[in-house]
Amino acid sequence: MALLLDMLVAFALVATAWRIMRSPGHFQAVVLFITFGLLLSLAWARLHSPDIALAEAAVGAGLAGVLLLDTLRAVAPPGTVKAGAHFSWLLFPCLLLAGLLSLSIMHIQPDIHGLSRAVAAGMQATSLEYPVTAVLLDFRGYDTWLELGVLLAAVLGLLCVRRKNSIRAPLLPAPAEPVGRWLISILLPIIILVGGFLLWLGAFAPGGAFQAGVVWAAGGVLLWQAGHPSLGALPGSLWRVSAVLGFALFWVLAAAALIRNEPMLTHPQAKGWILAVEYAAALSIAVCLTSLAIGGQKSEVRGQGSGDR
Amino acid sequence: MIFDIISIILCLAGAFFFLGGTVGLLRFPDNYSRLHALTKADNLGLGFIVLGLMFTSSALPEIIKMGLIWLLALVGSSSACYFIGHYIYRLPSQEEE
Amino acid sequence: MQIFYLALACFLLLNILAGLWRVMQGPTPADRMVSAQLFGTTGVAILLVLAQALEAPYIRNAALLFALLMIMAVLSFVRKSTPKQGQTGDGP
Repeated sequence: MALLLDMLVAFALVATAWRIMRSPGHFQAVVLFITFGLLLSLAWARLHSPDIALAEAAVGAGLAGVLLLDTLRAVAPPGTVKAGAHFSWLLFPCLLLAGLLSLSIMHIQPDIHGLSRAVAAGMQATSLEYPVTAVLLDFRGYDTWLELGVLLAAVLGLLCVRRKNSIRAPLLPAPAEPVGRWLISILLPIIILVGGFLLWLGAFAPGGAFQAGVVWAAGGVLLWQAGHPSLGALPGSLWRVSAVLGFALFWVLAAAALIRNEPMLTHPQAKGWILAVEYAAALSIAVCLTSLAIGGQKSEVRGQGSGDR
Repeated sequence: MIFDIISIILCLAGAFFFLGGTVGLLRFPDNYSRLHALTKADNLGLGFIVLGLMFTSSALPEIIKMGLIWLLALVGSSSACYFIGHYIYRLPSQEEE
Repeated sequence: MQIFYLALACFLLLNILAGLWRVMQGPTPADRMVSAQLFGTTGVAILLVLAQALEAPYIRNAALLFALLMIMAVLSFVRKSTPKQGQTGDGP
């Protein structure tokens, strides 16, 4: 029965992916992509990777749909959606590449454990209890640091391209219907709570900074969609400090280790220190993702307005 | 054992409502009736399945958590139903894609 | 019991697969959005059932996230579909 479920999930993933490529309308592709995220989350859950299932759930349900729908409106005004281009001539090269990749996979020695033994051996050296968080924040801290840098660079790039000096967008008018206001007053506290819960969970169980950051970012986007004034009321300096906090804390960590003449990013093995870095990273991820979602939005609305005139 | 049987019965009821929701989504003639099919599956299908799972769950926090997830899904889906219905109502002649 | 839960998950997944027909058929964007919403709820149910069948309690958190955040896409859809009324504000 488990095999049947796996085959169904795999079939659904491939069928949805194929349909996304070949769908005649962009909106249909967007809805299919939201469904694809759901199926991916199922697949990760089935593969015993709750961390990735969580991240996929948060990104797929919370941010991807919003970003894609907004982008759809920016690139394709209703009525002018063209049929998707057909790349049938790519079929043969793709098949060739797939065959070569399969061949190379055949030559890899099957190793079920991967790096899990090495991580298990290194767990005594760290003060964290959960291996995935230990890998992300301790063993491979360099990766996480640079990923925060990538997010920060994306926000800076957005500001440069849009020629703005403020990250925050003008607020949408508050929803006129009472259901919208009621919904936001219910959902927002729960979103903040669930984000904090995932962050707290990350120290010893599946969860962590990225998942929490994405959930909070979804909360920020929700606030903005609701036209709630609280995002605009935040001082800009606080916003910027939060955006760079995670990256900066990692930087301080690296620099302090260099001054102490140790390898970069070795840090005192205190749980509080690592958790501080993780919490700061979650805050930065949330602020950066919110800025990316809202920042792109603002110029789009303004650009359209100027185009109309 | 008795809990297992109760759980199976409740889960089958939930599956029935999900099936009903899907059939309604496929077969109903217009937007509003499809919305109706959606909310039935949300309320009752998920509700019965959560109830069924509660009977075979051993830990109290898990039971409470599943109940809360159902409540959240209720809040989300009913307001989604309202938003989409309002949207259809305001734009009656939505051009086809 | 585990076999029953896995069969239930398979059945719910088949429901999603059948519902994909409505996404492809349309005819209006609202229909497709309704389908996505139904898939979201079905996905929550599948994740909860899987959590029970595989005895992996942390999968429930993914179900929690879906139940919490599926409304975001609908909000965005409704807002972006009616830009002019939204921008000028059509009510108090």
